[in-house]
Amino acid sequence: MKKRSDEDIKEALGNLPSMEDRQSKDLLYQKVSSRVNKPKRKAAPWLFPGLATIAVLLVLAVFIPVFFSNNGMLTVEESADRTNENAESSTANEETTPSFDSPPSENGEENAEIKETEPSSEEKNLPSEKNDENQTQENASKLEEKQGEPDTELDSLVLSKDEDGYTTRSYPGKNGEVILPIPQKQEASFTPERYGLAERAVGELEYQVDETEGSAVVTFPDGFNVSGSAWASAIVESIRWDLENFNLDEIIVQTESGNPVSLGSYGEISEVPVIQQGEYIFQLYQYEDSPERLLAPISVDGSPTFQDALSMMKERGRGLYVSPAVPEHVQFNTVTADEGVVSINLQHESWAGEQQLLTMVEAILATAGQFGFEKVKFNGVNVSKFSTYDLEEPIDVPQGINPVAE
Amino acid sequence: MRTFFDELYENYHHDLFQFLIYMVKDRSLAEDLVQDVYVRVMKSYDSFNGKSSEKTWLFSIARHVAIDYFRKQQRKRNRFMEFFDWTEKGEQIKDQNKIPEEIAVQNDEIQQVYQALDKCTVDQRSVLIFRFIQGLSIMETAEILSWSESKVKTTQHRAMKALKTILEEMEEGRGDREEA
Repeated sequence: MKKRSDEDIKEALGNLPSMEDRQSKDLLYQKVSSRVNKPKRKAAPWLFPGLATIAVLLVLAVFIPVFFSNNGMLTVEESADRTNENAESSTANEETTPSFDSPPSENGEENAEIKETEPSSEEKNLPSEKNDENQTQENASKLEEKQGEPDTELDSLVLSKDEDGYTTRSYPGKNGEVILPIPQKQEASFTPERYGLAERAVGELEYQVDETEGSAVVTFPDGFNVSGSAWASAIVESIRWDLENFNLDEIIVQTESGNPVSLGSYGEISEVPVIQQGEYIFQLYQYEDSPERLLAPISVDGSPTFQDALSMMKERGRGLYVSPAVPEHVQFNTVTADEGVVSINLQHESWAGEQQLLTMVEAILATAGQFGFEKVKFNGVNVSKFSTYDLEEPIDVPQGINPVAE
Repeated sequence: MRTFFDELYENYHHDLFQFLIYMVKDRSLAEDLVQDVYVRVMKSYDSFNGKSSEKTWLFSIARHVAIDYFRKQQRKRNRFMEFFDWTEKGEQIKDQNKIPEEIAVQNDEIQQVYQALDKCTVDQRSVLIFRFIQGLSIMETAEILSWSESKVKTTQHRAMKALKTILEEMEEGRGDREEA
């Protein structure tokens, strides 16, 4: 079977023949101008009678139930002597047993509020999963409706395991709060400004990686100076993320002359800790109006469980240009792990679109990978036609985030 | 109006028609759609604010016309599917589209690439046509599609990958038939 390179494909596309329009220019102009100048079509003859009929039906639909319920109220109030008594007793009844037939009144409004916040006894008797299922199925159908539109390419933010030839370089966000690893193809010309990122914090450093020994040596220029603790932190984090894909046990830092490095508030250091499992969650980074969105690793304190980490992914306020990748309406009910596969049962309301779902899925996959899992099974999303991933099956965690192909 | 039409026609008609015919793979349909593009352009010329070039504006309209067409087709298909089992018949009808004679006289490789384009997503096909058939830059393509440049690059990367896979599958299929 013939193997084709990108260049072969480009060449073949370039060789596709030119196809000429056979209609003459004048004929085309005539057709176009006749359509441009065509007077607007008058409203269809059935339109106004049709609208009038619909309006009448709507009015009837609104007034008939009101008319009947008012009749009911009149019969109660007709016995003049018992009016007050009835009113009192009906109020008391309403307080204890809400009635669907009660006339519109203050109490009626209260009932409506109660119904909104508390499910009816009938609903309470249903298993909660059943309710969730109904809700999620409805939501799923909404998403599927949106997917009826022609397929548009979604912004994927992760690097799948089968892609190779990428080297990770990390860049600080614009205010240095977060460090974003960007795997790039060797030939890629990457402009951090375009992605709302600052220049690399570790451009002057040299890395020597020995994968067999599981160690790396990072050499700083002699007399290296750093201003401010934020920048010192950006340097340390950049080193850790640059080397994250190597399976390292230690990262040694030294100056050209072999001395420890003086790094602002860190003092003199000779080692930088490698990234451990469970240190980071992933949220969205987007600088001001930049069209580019990236996944940002956000460090978490303590040693949260994966379920805690999922809840943290919904939290705001973890950086100026950072926002949660998981929408507020998503609830993580249970999380169970079995031999590297983590199953997440979640509940949600309607998605803003397929992109929102994709971004959430990918942020969770990246976080699961950081927590040492190999695959993630999503339960309760109930979206069968999700173009990017098959949610019926466990999904591999990605190899990396934020790939830049060219 | 005539002067404006003449100007557009002279400068862009060839590329416009190329884009549409490679998108929809049907000459008479492309001829209808090209009319739609000019009608929309004529009606909305006042709203052209000059932020983008005339060319990217025109192609952006052409792309929307093509997408509207696909959307209508999708709706029609969905309506039919509700009543009949069209899954097999629909595919058969689609495959009967004649290969234009310009393509039919080309070698197998070109014919396969032409067929394979049809199996890419609408976005992937748009990017491949703009980038490699029309020779537009990443920046121009991004402007037409109202995307970021990185999205164009990513889509292009995926489109190339998809095209390779489709071509390999086509070859495998042909090999199997020949063996049989």
